[in-house]
Amino acid sequence: MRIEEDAPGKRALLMGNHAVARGAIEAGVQLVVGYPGTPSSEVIEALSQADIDAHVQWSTNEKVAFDVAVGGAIVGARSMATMKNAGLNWIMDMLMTVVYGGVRGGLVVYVADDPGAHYSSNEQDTRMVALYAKIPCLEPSNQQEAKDLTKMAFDLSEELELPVMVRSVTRISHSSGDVVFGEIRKERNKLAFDRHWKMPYRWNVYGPPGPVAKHKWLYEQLPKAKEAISKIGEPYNFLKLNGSEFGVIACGIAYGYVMEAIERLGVEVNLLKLSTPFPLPEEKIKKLIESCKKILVVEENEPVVELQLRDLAQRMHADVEIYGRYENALIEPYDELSHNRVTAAIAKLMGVEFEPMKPAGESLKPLIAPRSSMLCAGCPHLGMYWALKLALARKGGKVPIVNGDIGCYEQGGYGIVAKKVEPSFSTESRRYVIEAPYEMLDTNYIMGGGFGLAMGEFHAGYPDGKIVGLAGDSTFFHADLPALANAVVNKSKVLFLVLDNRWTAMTGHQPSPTTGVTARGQPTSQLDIEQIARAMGVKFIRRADPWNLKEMQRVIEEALEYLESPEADGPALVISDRVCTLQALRRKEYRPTGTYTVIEDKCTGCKLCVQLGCPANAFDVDKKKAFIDQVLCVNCGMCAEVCPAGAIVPREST
Amino acid sequence: MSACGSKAKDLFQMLVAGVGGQGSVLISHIIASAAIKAGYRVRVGEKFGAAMRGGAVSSHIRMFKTGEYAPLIPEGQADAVMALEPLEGLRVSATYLRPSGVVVMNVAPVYPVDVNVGWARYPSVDSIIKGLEEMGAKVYTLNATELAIQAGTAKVMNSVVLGAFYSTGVLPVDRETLLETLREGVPKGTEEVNVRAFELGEKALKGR
Repeated sequence: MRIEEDAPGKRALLMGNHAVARGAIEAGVQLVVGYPGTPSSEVIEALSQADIDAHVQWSTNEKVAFDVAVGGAIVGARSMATMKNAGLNWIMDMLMTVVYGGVRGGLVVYVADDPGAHYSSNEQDTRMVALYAKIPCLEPSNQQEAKDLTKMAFDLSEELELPVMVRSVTRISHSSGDVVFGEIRKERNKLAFDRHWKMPYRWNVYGPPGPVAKHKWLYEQLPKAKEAISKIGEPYNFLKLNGSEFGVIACGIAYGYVMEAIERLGVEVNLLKLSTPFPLPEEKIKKLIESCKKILVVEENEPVVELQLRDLAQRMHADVEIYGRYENALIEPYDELSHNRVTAAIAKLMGVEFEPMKPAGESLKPLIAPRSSMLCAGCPHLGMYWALKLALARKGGKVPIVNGDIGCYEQGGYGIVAKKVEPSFSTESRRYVIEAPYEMLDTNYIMGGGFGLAMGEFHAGYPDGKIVGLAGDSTFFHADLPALANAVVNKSKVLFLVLDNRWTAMTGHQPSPTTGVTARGQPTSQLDIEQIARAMGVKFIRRADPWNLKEMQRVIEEALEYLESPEADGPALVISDRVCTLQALRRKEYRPTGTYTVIEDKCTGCKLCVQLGCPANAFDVDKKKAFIDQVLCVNCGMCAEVCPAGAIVPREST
Repeated sequence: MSACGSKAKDLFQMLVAGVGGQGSVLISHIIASAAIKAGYRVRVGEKFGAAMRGGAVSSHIRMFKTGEYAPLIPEGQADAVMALEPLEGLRVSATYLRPSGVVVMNVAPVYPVDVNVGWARYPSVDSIIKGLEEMGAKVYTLNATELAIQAGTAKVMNSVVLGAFYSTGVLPVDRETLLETLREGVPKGTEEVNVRAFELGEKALKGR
């Protein structure tokens, strides 16, 4: 199935993100840009593989992507920028400003939020930003609407001359559903540039009459936006009154949960189904308020609709009780919606009984071992973490600090789920036993955060150990270039480790600036982190192959020694230099010639190999011997290097 | 189709469970696409991505003719579980399967790091089967990893389990539609090995 197929009426299974991509195609999109971020990446992945007349690119970060999209929209192109929740934080500068005067071509910001933080470091609700920037926000309830509303967003954007946000959540973006294809808009927006289009100095916020006048223009668009939203009807926005004194507003993904809950409870409520959390369809909302004594708002995940509803009810002097996720919440304002949470909330609103649905196998739970997430067999990060662990044990001081970053290597901070950890209330620095690479990272928050945190710890004067900041190749270009410049000019004596595996691996192997290919798969420049760091004034730079554990350990130790030396006046940089194993296997750049195996007689059962953290290294608790999963092993040999007994050998040699 | 857990209407709910990298997402999309061809509307709720490799992966598949449904199955309500790995089969069955549901399970384990480093113990496959049967489930097992290697490559283990799952008769999709969708859904050039795997799985449960 091709998502660009010109087949109106065709019904197919589409993931939410592919539905968004299809919506953009149907809208005749001309420019699509973004930075990978789960669960948003598949939009550009699908469009980059589609046979469409559009420029599709992976940008170095979301800020760059959004600026590119705005540029496209200024010259009249239908443009779209895609990102995850945290990515939106990066575009705030341009977003809060471009709305002062708006755009010419349709500009759609697609944001995939992650209630439940399945793939994210927070649960932020980006719809708040739509209110803040005063741009319309459309929110689909299923994959069909993800397609339809994306298409609609382009029209709405051009009607209002404002960017429009399409807000999805993990359970839309990464879930799939049946979608009926629509017509593809054949004409392309004519590209043109007019400095004073409908407004003097339209594209220069400082140009007379200046930012305040352009801010006023933005407020003048609001009634027009409300008018446009009021015209959106079924199946996206509709009100069904049935004489009940109870009302439920179901916004976006909440709709499915609410419909199931109503049927489960066998109750009748006044229902407002909502796909436009901002601005609200006020006439429909007013009718609902007038018809109800109690209203529950079900939305994912902050009380965005609820707060606006409270405002509207107050302005109407309405005698209505409003419930949702705000104070006195019927659904707590954290974690994602669930059948039990939504059904219990409606039951409580109406004062009816509901016994939460329970797992049938509660008694089986003690049997179930947790399964912590792991890096892949032969992953270069495994070797780097092993080397870092040993180097820090020798040269890291009493309590070194390792600051993490976002990428596959962030699993170095996921821990071992089964391991019980008690909180410490020590006033002294404390060192903990590290049993797996999954316990290596001491801090981790955001893209590119590790370098900055490391500098802060250093300049605060942390006395008890060496300080390390990690980055990947993609995050290095996303956010760490300014941090590296900062470290050089401020003489931050910390160790920066860049794990260059040539791909933005965690989000599904999109190209990074060190890959040498574009989103469309065309060859392009391959940037060299070592050369860049040297040009930026980093004096100590080493690179090593992380499959060579001893070499990797040696260069990290050298870097730590350098930081102690009198000539050190800034950061040391070590590059862990090996292409992602999974991607090398897929692209047939690496073909394993065999596998490794354990000679049982030689194995002492010390479990050091298991501490490498490779999924191919397992341990038989009955035999008390290590073994290697022959399906998973990729013949990298790292575990053979780790084994102190020489018990791990190439299989052919046995 | 039994109406015990699911309400008495055209709703069939199942899960595919496995470890990241075993192809559970692909196989769940093949099942859902086949259901669309069979006239159903579908929702597939799942989590995936490179971060999920080696982690627990499950897909919720809901097939229905009318109404509106969220992507996830409520606890204790699934009609069936198709397990590519025993521990993962146990994990999702314990939470989502209805007491009289059906489980088809590959018995070849993939050990979690938690077990390898000694912080957790992997349950014996016998204890998993016994536990699920005590819960009221009908459990079918096979060593799909071995059968897949027999078919040509361990990578088609998911198709072996699909064949076995189909042979129980719980899936409201006919064989021809399912095989056609399997051929369309798998990587080009692997159609025959996948069909062979499906057929080996189909025969594996015969006579039980």
